[in-house]
Amino acid sequence: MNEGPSSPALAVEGLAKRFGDFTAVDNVSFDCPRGEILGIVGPNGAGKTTTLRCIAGILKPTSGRVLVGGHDVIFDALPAKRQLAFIPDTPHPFDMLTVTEHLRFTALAYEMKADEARFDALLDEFELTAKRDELASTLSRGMRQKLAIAAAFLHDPSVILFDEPLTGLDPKAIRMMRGSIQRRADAGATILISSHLLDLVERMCDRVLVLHEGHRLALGTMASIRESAAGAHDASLEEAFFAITEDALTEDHDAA
Amino acid sequence: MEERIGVFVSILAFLMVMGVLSGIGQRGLVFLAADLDFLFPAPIARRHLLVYHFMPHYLAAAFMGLLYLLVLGGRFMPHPLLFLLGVTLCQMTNAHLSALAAELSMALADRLYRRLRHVTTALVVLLTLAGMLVVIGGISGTGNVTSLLREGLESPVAQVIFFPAVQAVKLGAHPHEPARWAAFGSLALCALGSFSLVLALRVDFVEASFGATKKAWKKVDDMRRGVSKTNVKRSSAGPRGTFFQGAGAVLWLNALTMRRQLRTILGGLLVVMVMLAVFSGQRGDSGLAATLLFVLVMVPLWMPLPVGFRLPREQLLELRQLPLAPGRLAAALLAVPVLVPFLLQALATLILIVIGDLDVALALAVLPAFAAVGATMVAIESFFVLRRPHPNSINLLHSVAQLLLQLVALAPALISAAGLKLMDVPLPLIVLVAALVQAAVSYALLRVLGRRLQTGDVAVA
Repeated sequence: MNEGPSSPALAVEGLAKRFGDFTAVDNVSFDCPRGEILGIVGPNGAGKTTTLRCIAGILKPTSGRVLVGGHDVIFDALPAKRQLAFIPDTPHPFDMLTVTEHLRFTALAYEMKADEARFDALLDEFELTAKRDELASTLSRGMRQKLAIAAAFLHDPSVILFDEPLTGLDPKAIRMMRGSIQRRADAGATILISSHLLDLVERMCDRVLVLHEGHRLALGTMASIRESAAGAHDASLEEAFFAITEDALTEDHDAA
Repeated sequence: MEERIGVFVSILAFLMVMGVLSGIGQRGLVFLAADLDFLFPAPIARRHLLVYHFMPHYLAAAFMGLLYLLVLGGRFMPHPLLFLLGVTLCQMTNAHLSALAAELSMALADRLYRRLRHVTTALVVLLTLAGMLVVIGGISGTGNVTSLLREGLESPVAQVIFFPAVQAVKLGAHPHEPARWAAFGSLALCALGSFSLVLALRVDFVEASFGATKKAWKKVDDMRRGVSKTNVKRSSAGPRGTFFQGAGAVLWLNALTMRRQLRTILGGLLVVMVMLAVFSGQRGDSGLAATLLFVLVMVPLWMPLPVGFRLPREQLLELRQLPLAPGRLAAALLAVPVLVPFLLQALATLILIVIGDLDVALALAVLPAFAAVGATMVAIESFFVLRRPHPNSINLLHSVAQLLLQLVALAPALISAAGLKLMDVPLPLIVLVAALVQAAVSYALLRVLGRRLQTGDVAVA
């Protein structure tokens, strides 16, 4: 399947993932156009990370499919993965590679030319220039996060998946990271952000997907989520979030 | 009996010296990692913290006593239970002395401490070399170094320095009861006295122990991951050519990792050399066959290289998101952990040709067999790593299952070889055919491994 002019950058159709008897994600569908920032929120165990990992092709869905630029991440994996980047909540860079070597490794793996100017620009953007020759094992948590993001941005992915992107970053780095994410979206990249920081999601995302125990509870723009959940345009996302998830909990309780 | 007593004193004395040296090296008391968060902030008195610190050491001391008794032949002592008691008390004293050395190091100025460290490092190297010479001398029957060491330990100065070790052995071996009672009394006094000294030294060990504990557990974690200390001054310029593009990038990653892990490779080389030295002491075909068997099977199994599939779960997952074909990714991951042991095997084979009269034609046929067997071994190990990436503990069942599967995977090649042998085919040709069969097995395993790497649920702990 090829990307048509009107096809979404990312399409998730009936995605389900089970681990033995446990269902982590159950029949979740949504799609994202180019340049959209979609926030994924939900309580712990809602299936946010599993959803992102399935989209990234790290986990094989039990059923359903994920299309990136029209390519199935499982059955047409290589073209799909070339357009993807996934930044986990706790990056684990290779201990024996330096910061620059991580960029070099990524460039080789994505069959790109080693562009020193591009490396320098990314190191500069993420304030890693002074650490360029240091081994990843010596970096702080925040620095590792920055390194993972710099490496993920190297091949100019059209779909970028962030799992708790601001964990471990200081306030200055958080501001820089928000700007960086926004610039990629403005340039046409589709961004998915899974986060517990509702303030971040509210401030940055065009739409929000609310997950609860693997199910999709709500999907829509900030305004529509606020309207449908809290019944008021001026309600915060936090109020809407609690209204939606507590409704779901009550329903679960009644069903039990 | 006299000889065995000498060996026991040597080992206990060696442990005593190593304990003191490690205390100096740590410059703080090592606790559990969780103790830093839960125990250190709690309102617990210094002496209670010290008792808590020594508890596992006392258990280890008792365990060591049992080990001496049952494994090292202590049961042949005239009084085995007293010997167990003696070794336990001696090891308790050693733990106290180690803590004392750590406390005294904390009190030293940094500059003086650095000088002391140079001396202790040199001592550790010397002791390790002496230990190796003793082992080789013991196995090959040329025990000059062993007897030299024993004579040294019998000198009056050594008897005073290693007093607890001498008394522990006396407790288990002396023919007269009063002398045994005296030995017991001395040992108990040594244990109590050394503990009192640790208590009496008013060194605030908490801050130093915080750093020492963190450092020690990081070292354990690094060892578990096969990462050794390395200094990098400049990033690598990266490889040239299209070979290292795509899956080749993983090859470069592993090659670079190995280049920075020279200590591990040198360790492997050392083991090969020691084993060759041991086996070359034996004359005849059986010695040569044993060497070959060791080099062929043990080296690929033993090498704890932090490359290939031996990666943390998260890094394996990160590799999955790269746009690389599963088979190529698996092949690139396996290449270096197969190649490095193979180079060691090739070196060992070369040595055997020079010193052991190994037939050159046979050696040339054996080399591809080494590579094929190594690939099978590492591939099967990789299946197990994928099931439990970087486990925190060793699972005996997994290890046994892995070893059995590795042996089963050698069966097709062995059966082919046996068939050809019955047909009186020349030995080099038999080995070559067996190598081809083994290579086919390795290739099939590689294909399955690639698919497993991409689709298995590695993510779920």
